[in-house]
Amino acid sequence: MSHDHRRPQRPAARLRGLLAAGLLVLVAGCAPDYAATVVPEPPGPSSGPGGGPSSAPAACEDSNPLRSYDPPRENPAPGDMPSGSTMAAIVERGRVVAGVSADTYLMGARNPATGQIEGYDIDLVKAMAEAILGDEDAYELRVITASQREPLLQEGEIDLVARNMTINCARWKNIAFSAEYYRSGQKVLVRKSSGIATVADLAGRRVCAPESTSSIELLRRELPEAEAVGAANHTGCLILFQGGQVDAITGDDTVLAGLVVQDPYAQVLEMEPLSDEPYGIGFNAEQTDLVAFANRVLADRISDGEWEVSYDRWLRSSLGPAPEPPAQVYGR
Amino acid sequence: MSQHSGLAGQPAPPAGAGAPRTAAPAYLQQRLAFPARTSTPGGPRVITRPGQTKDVASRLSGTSTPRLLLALMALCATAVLVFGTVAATVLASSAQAMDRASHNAQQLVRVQNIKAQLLSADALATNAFLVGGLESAEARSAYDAAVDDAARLLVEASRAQPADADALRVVSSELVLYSTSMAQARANNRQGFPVGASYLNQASNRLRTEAVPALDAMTAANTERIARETGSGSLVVVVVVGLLSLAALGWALRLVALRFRRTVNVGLAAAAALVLLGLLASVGVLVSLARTVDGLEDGALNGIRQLSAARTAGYDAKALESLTLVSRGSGAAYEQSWVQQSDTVVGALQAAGEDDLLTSWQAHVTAHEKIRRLDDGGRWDDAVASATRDGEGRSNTTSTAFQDALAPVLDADVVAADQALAGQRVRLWVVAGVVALITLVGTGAALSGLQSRRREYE
Repeated sequence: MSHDHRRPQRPAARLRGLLAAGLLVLVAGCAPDYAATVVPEPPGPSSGPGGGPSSAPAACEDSNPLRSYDPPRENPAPGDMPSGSTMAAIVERGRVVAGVSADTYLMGARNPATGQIEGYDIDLVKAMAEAILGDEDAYELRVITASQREPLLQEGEIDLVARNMTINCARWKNIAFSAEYYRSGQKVLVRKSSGIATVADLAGRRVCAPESTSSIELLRRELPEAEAVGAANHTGCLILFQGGQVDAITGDDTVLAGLVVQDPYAQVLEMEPLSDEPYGIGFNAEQTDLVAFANRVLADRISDGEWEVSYDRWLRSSLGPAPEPPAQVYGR
Repeated sequence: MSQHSGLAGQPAPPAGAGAPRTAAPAYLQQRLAFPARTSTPGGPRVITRPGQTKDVASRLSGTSTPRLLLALMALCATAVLVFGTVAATVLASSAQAMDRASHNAQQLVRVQNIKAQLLSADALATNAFLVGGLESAEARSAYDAAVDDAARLLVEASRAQPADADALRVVSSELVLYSTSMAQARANNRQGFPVGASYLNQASNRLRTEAVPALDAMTAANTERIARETGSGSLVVVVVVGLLSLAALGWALRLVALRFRRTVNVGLAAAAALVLLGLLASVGVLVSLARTVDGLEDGALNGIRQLSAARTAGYDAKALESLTLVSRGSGAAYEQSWVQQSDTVVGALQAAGEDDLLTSWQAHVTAHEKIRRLDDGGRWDDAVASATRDGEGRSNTTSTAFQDALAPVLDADVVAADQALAGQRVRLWVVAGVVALITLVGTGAALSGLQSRRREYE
C-alpha cells in the first residue's frame, strides 16, 4: 500500500501527544507546599496589678506618723453608743464592713475547709465587731485590692481596712490610721539548705518581690548586688521560688510567714529588717471618733493578752515567739 | 504596445483580434480557431458560475489538495489535542484543589477542636477549684478526657499538615506546662494554700497568652488555604481554548467542503461535535463547582467558622467566670474578658443565623448575671454555690445545655462541607476522564475523516 509509510507515524504522534497531556496533568497536580503557619510573638510580661502604686519615700512634714487620736479612758458598752457617732451608725446597720485581703495567708485568707476568711487581720475585725455590736461575728468582709484601700475608705463604702497596711505620712493625707497594731519589717525568705545565712550572702542571687511595690524598690536600693526579679504578687514569687527560678523572696515578714507555711523548704532569715513597716487599721479621715474607739480596743487587747494570743495562733510558728507589743502613740 | 507595424506599408492587424504576433505577411496570416492560451492579468481565476469568475488570489488554491489535507490533519489533530489537554488539566487540577480544600477544611475543624478542648479543660479545672480540694470525680475525669483529646488531636493535626508543625509544637509544649501548673494548683488547693490559686491563674493566663494565639493563627492560615484552593479554577481558559479549537475545526470543515463534493466531512464533523460536547461538559462542571463553592462559603463553611468560634468562646467564658470567683475582689479583669467572650458568642451565633442557640446562650447569660449579683453583693459563698452546683438555671447546667445544643449543628455543617467537596471531586475526575476520552476519539475521527479524503489522491 502506498500510504504504509505514513501509518507508523500517526500512532507515534498520538502517543507523544498523550504523554505530553499526561505529564501536564501530573505537573499541575503536584501541590505547592504551604508556607509554615506563623505563630505570633507572645506579649511581653505585663506588669500585673502588683501590690499597688510605687510609693517613693515622700517628704514628711509630720514628725511622727505613728501618732493617732487619743482613745477614751473606756469605750462605751456595745448597746450604749453615743447617738450621732459613727459607732451608732454601725450599730444601726447591724454589722461592721471591713476591707481585707483573701489571699494573704495567715493575715487574711480563705480557709477552704470552712469557707471563712480568717487570719491575724481578721481577728482585729472580730475584736471591733465585738466591741461595737457585742457579737464577734457581726461583720461583713469585702475583699479588696491594694489600690482600692484608700478610695473605698474615702467614699465611705467600708468602715475600716485591716489589710497589713503600713502607716505613713503620705497616707495620712487621705485617711486616718489607728495606733500601730504590729511592727513588721521587710525581711528575706530563703531555701533551707541554700547556705544563705545573712543578707550579705544574697549578692549575686536572684531575689523576687512584687512589681511596683515598696518592697522591690527597697530591694533595688538596699541590695543592689542581688538580682531583683519582679512578679505579679507574693504568691507569684512563691511559684518562681518553688520552680527554682529565684533563690529568695523579700517582703513584709508577716507575708513571708504565710509563704513559709505553704512551703516546708522555705525559711525566713534571722535578720534585722531592711525597713520598718508599722501596721495600722485604716479609717475614713473624718471619723475620728471611730479611730479613738479603735485605739481603746487595741490598747485593751494588748493589756489583756489577746494580742499575744492572736500572734501565737497565726504567726508564732513562722516568725518565732511573740515580740513586745508595739508602743501605742497618741496625741494627734 | 501590442501592435507591431507590419511589413512596410501593410496595415497592422486589428487589435484584440487575437492575431498572432508574428511577422508573417498578412495574406499568410490565419485566423486561428483556438486562440493561444495566455495568462490573464491578475492571476488565476476560478469560474464559479457561467459567466462569472472569481479571483482566487490565496496560496491555498495554489496548494495541491493532498498537501492541504495534510496540513489540515495536523491542524485539526493539534486543535483537538490542545483543547483536550487544557480541559483535562484544568479539570484534574480543580479536582486536586478540591481534595486539598477538603483536607484543609478537616484540619481547620481539628484545630478548632483542639482549642475547644483546651478551653473546656480550663473551664472544668477552674470550676472544680472553687470547691476547694473536694473536686468531684466526674469533673476530674471530664478534665482528663478533654486534655487527652487535645493531645490526640495535636498529633493528628501535625501529621495531616506539616506546614502547621511549628505552631502545633508551641501548643503541645504549652499543654504540658498547663497540665503541670494545674496539677500543682490542685495539690496546693487540697492543702488549703492560697498559692494554689496563683498556680491556677498562671496556668489559665498562660494558656490564653501562648496557646490560644497559636491556635488562632492556625485557624486563620487554614481558612486562607481553603479560600486559595477553592478560588483557583480557570473556566475562562477552557472556554477560550475550546472556542478556538471549534473555530479551527469549523474552518477546516469549510475548506474541505469547498474542495470536495461532499458538503460535510463526517470525521471532522464528529470531531467538532465531540469537542463541543467536551467543552460543554467541562464548562458545566466548572460552573457547578463554582456555584457549590460559593454555596459552601456562605453555608457550611461559614457555619463551621462561626459555630466553632461560639463554642470556644462559650468554654472560655465559663472558665473566666470561675476565675473571677477564685480571684475574689481582684477579678475585675476576668469579668471584663467574660463580657468580651459573651459578645463574641452572640455575634457568631447571629452571623450563623442560629436563633435557638442564641436563646440557649441567653439562658446561660442570665445564670451568670445571677452569680455576679451575688458576688458583687458580698455573698461570695452563695455565688460559688450557684457557679459550681448543677440545677435548673444554674451556670453549669446552662453552659452544658448550650454546648450540647451546639455540637450537633456544628457536626452537621462539617459533614455537609465534606460531602459537598467530595462530590465535586468525583464529578471533576469523571469529566476529566470523559474529556480525555473525547480527545482521543475526536483526534482519531478528525484524522480519519481527512485521511479518507486524502486517500482519493493516492
